[in-house]
Amino acid sequence: MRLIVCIKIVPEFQDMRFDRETNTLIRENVRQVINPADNTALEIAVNLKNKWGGKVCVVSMGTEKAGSVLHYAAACGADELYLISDKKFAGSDTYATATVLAAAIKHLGDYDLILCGRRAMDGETGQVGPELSVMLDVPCLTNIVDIQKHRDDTMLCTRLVEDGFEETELTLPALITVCEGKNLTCVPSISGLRRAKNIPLNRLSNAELKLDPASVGLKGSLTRVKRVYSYFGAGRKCIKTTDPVKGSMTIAQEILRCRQHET
Amino acid sequence: MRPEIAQKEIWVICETNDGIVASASYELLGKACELARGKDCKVGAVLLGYQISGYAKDLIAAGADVVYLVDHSELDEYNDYVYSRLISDLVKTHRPFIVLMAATVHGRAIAPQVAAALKTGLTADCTGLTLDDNGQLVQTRPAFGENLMAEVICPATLPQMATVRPKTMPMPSMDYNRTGEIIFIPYKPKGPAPLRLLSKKKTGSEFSLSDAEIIIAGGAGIGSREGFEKLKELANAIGCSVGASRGAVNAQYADYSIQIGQTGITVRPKLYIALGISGAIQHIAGIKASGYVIAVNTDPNASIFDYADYGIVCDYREVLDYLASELLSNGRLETSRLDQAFKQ
Repeated sequence: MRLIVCIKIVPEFQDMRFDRETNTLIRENVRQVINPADNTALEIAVNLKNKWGGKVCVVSMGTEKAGSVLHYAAACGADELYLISDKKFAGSDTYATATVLAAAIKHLGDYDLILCGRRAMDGETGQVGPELSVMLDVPCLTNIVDIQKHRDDTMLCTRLVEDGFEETELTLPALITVCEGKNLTCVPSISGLRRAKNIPLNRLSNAELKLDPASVGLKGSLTRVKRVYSYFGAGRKCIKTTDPVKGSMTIAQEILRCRQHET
Repeated sequence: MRPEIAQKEIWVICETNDGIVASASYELLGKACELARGKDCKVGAVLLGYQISGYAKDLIAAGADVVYLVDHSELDEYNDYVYSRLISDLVKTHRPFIVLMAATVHGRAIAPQVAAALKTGLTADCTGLTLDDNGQLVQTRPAFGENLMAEVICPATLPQMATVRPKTMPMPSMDYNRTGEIIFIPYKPKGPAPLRLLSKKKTGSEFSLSDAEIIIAGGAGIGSREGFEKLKELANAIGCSVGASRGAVNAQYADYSIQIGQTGITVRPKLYIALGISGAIQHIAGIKASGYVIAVNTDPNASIFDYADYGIVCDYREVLDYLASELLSNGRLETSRLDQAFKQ
């Protein structure tokens, strides 16, 4: 199987601190990591490769800074790495990002399955995957927690929805977006790290992709962010007790209060 | 209004769940109606499915001026591939200037496929929408684990598209004296789709977590799978939904499908009861919109207390045992006992 994994490098959420005095996000000393859901996508792709043979190819759009993090993807089993980087791509919204990824994937040739994370920890839109699928004219299934080979050209996908799971048959070539799994970060083995040393980081820019500069980056973005502001909601003042009986009574009261409002 | 927008429609793409129109779709119709008020535009509701024409009167009562119905046996099951292509075609033909969908799993999958096919902008998971005098839709959405809010516009292309988080817009009052037009759209199946729903498995809880009014959630502090089962038993008996923190899922006390937080489900119940949850920032992101938050933890300095309205510093078992002995008889809720507890 030829598998393509789209990876976004994002700030490590655990490193983020919130300054409650100034209501701002503290961005200093924040590590860059593989987006958690993308990491699961990579894991799934590597498992499919180990079972059915083939290659896992990682594509990531970002700056040079993202490049150094991508070596972890190789250490965790990716066979080819592509960093898509160009000043012209800066400021892309989901549509412009999908445009660039679609061009890069077409540039790389045939594939069976494209795997993306269901959303990135920073933007949290979850739109790039489904948009990319339309641009490549392949079917798309989101929120996947498990995927197995079904018949020759179909996969069996388990999709997490609001009230349960859906089992869906998906014909290849196709694109899936996957939910965050157990391992949020890639922890490479020593042999994996050794392996990664021999896998080069290939670079793709608009010199190769030849996209109309007006269709990518800020210029090619169809949405505009007008304003961004910090939001912490109403602060909560916690009333504490160390008395389990008194506390339990309060819980019972609050449950009853909710019930009364329902009826 | 910009001249190219005047007389056009605001569309709500309705979603069905087991053949019933989802409450989130009614919320969107109410919002669309509010946006259209005093402006030179109408509200259109689009409903796809099988044997769904009976819902047209409800959609009109909720605020639709025009209902577009595509009723066909092959549309009985939700199919992202078929639905997104069909909706794209409808939008191309009728040219609404705004298209809204609920930010459900299906809505968030279909909307971007429609937006990409139409080459227009889309804003995800909005919690606020306003329409200015030029017909520009200002879409407010949270990001970064609910810590940042962004206002987004789609300035150059139409339609302006947004998915809207369920339960953030009020339910409209139904007015069955309203009148509206119903348009039946014929549908011709285009052969087998490249994806096919085989089966659906519902998880135990009767209500989905994202819709739940009361949630009891357990964290790593629950300490064992048995402890979590006890929590579940009590929650089921009093009719609350059960959630888990990432810690509890990692320790395999609970399934990922009920994980609450940034890497799981975002919830907004009226009452959130956190047992043995320390309160990592990722968990807080998923519960921020809750009404009243009660935390139970042995550690008086646990960060969960910073985000709670009421905190009990003790072993969660004492609370579970007390509630079970006081509220339940033979494993079922005794409302009279709850009443008593309330009066005391």
